[in-house]
Amino acid sequence: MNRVGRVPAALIALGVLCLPAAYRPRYRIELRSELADIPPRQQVPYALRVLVRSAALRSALTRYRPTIGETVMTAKKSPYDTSVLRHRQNTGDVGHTVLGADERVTARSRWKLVAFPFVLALIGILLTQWGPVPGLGAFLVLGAVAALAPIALRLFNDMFT
Amino acid sequence: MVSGPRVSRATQVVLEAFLSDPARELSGVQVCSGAGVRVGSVHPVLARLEGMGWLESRWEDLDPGEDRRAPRRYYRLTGVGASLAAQAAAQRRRSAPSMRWRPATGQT
Repeated sequence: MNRVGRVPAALIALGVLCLPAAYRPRYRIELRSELADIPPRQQVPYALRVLVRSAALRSALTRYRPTIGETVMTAKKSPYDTSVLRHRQNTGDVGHTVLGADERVTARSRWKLVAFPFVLALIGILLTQWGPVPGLGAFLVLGAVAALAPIALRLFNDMFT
Repeated sequence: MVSGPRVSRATQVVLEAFLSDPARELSGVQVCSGAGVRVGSVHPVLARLEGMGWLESRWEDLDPGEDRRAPRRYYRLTGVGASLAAQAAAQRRRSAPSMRWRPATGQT
């Protein structure tokens, strides 16, 4: 077992943040345990590959949700489409799928929450540079920083725990 | 119901790593080293195969008092997955174009 570096740990934490909320604890542990199995020199390339492939992993997790003997989860129109009904007909497992739909909604909302501060910061920077009231731009940038602070704290926590 | 996933090149090599010993449990790193895939790039494939019911996974059993490290996640072919993966491999071998080098005969 090798010592896990801070940089690869941070990259893994960033990649895990891209995954659906329900799967983050699992992959945080799984990927960090694999990091410890890799020689230190290969840890950063490994973490970078995980980060790059996190979108594909997210897609695989949302499209093919691991359920008991069930594969029909091809929601394309809305989170509450007929896949819930098909799943219910095929397996009788109601709670899991309804929970799955809720998780998808929650994950989308969180992406919006992350996107909002970035847009706010962009507007703030533009206003600071070219706007009539520079103070307003700075205020927006500070607001964006405050909104992103919890995410940064989460990353920091993942790096050192 | 277990249906067949899209069998990409990465999926093929991952399945071959499991088919070499269907009863064996492999972690993500072991799959990469066994299949000759770059470490860190197999998790989407593993997640897809697990979601389709071809693979199952479990956490490594650790003694919390002695082992101060994160548990590994081990993957294994399910019964259905093993038979479907073997079918997919056989089908791929049949459909692969056979390339045979023939010596030049000088005939045109």
